[in-house]
Amino acid sequence: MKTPNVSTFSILKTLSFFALLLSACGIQAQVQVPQIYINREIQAPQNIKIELQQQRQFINNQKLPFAVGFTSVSGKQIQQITGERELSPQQLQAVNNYLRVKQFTIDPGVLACNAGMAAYDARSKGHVTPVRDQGGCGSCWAFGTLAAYETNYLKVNGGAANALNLSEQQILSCSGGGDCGGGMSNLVYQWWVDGNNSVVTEATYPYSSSATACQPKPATNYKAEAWGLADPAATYAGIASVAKIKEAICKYGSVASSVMVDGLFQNYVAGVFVGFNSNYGAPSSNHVVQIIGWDDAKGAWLIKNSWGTDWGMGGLMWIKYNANNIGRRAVWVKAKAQLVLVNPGIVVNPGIAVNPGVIAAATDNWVNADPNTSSLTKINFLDAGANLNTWGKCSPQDCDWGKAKVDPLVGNPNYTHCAIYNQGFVLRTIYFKKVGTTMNVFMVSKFNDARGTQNSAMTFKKN
Amino acid sequence: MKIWLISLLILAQCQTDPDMIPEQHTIRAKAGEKFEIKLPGSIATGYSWTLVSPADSQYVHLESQVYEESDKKVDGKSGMDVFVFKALKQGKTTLDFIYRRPFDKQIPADAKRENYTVHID
Repeated sequence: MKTPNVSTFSILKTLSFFALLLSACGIQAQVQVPQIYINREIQAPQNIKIELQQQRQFINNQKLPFAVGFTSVSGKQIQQITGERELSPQQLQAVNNYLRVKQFTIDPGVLACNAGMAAYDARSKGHVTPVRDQGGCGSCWAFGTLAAYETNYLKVNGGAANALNLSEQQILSCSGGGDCGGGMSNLVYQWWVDGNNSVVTEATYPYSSSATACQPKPATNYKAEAWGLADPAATYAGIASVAKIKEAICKYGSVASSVMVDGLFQNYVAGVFVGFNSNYGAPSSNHVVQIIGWDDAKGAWLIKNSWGTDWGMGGLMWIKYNANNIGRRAVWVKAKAQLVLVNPGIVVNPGIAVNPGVIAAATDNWVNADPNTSSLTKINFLDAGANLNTWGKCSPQDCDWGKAKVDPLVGNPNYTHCAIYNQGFVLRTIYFKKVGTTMNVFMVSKFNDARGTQNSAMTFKKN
Repeated sequence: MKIWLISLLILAQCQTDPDMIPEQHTIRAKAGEKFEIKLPGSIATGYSWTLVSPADSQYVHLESQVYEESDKKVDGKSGMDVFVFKALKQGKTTLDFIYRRPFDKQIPADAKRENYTVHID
C-alpha cells in the first residue's frame, strides 16, 4: 500500500487546531441543516447516517459554524500520493513575467462598490449568471473563468444575468487551458485575450462534459481585452490578500479563484465553511470557483460553485477568508465593451446641472483610440469647453450626434465631467476625464427596449 | 498479530457500459488481512465513490476511506478514492460501489458502479 505523505491524523490535527481558534474567537456553531437535506438523509444507507453523526459531533464539539448534509464521505480526507507539484519555477516565472509585461490597465469605470464596504454581493447588481453544473468532468477551470467573464461582461455591457449563458464547452475544447483532468485559468485568459478569440453562446456550443475535439465557431463580440492577478504581489502561485480581492471584485465584478476541495467542502449545506486553515506559505488547490462577494461580519467570501444548485446554498457557499486556500490564483478578466449604435436620431440635451463650478473639461478635438470602435468615434469641445459635439459609428460615415452641454462632476474620482444625450430610444450619459494627452470616456446607454443598460469604457486621443 | 496488507489497484475499465452492469471484480484475502480498493475519481467535481451496500460486518470491516489526489499541477485534477477493509473471517461477501455526488437529489441512471466479490480464506 502506498503511504500518503499527508496523514489523516495530521489533517485532522490541523483541522482541530483551526477549530479551536475559531472556538476561542467565540464563533458559534449549531447551523441548522436545511429540511431538504434532512428529508434526503432519511433515505440514506445506515453507514452514511453513522458517518454523518460522527462528522456532526466533530463540528459541534469544535463549534464549527457550518453544517453538512447527506453524504457518504464524511470521514474522507484529502491525501496526496506524492504531494501536489505546482508550476515549476520556470513556468511560474513565465506567468508572472507575462503579467508584468502586459501591464493591463485597471478599468476606471464607475464602481459598483468599494473595498471598504463591510459587505457586498454582486448578485444585487444583477452581475451574476445562474449556477452551472460541470458534471463529472474536471472542467472547473473553464466554468470558473467563464463565470468571471460573464459577470464582467454584464458589468461592462449591461443586460439580464439570466439571459447570458456562454459556452464552457468552447473553453474546454478550444482554449488549450486543460481537459477533463484539470486545467489552468491563466491559459484560458491568455487564449482569450492574446489570441483575440471570442466565445459563443451555450446554445451554439452546448456543454457535453467531455473534452471533445474543438469545433470551429464563428467569431462573436464576447471578447476579452485584459486579465490579471487580483494581487500581483502574491504571484500566480500564492493567495491574494483579502483587500486586493475586494478591490478586484469592485473593479471587475468578481474574480475566479482556486480553492482546495475536501470531504467537508463536498458535504457543505449551510453556514460559513471552514475546512482547514489556509496555507499561505505553500498553498495547493484542486478546484476553481467564482468569488462574487464578501461579508466582514462573517469574515467570509461568497462563492459560486459549478456543481449545480443541489450543492450548498443553491450552488453558493460562504467560506472563511482564510479557509481552504481560497483566494489562490485569484484572477480578474475584463470583457470587451459591446455597443451597437442604431443610427441615432435627434439630440436633445436635457441640461441637467451636476455641481457646476469646477474646472473646464477640455477645449480640444478628440478621436477614439480604437479605430475599430462600434461606439463613440469623435468628441469636439466647443465654447471653451462649455459644450461638446460627438459622433457615433455609422456607415458609410459617422453619425453626428450634435451638441450637448458639458456638466462638471464633483466627488467622482474617475471622471470630471459628463454630458447627456436623450436620443428618444436611448438615454446616454457620457463621462470623461482628460489625463494628459488622452481622455478616459465612459458611456452609459439606457435603452427603452430589452437591451436595457449598456456600458462602454473607451480611451480617446487628441485629433 | 502479524497483519498482511494487500494492495489492490483495480481501475474501472468500462465506464459506459450500455446495460449499466457494474464492473465485476474478485478479491481474495485471508482472515485478519487488510486489503484496499482504489477507484479513480475526482472530488473536485463533487463526485465520490460511495460504498452503497456495505458488506456483512461479520466478514469485512471498513477501516478507512480517504481520497488520494494526483500530483498533477492543475485545478480540477483527478485522484483515487481509497477504501481499506479488514477481512474478519472465512467466507464470501460482496462490496458494491457507486460514483455519485452526495448532494444530488437523484442518482443518475447512468451512474458508474463497481462490484467486488471478496473471498476470505
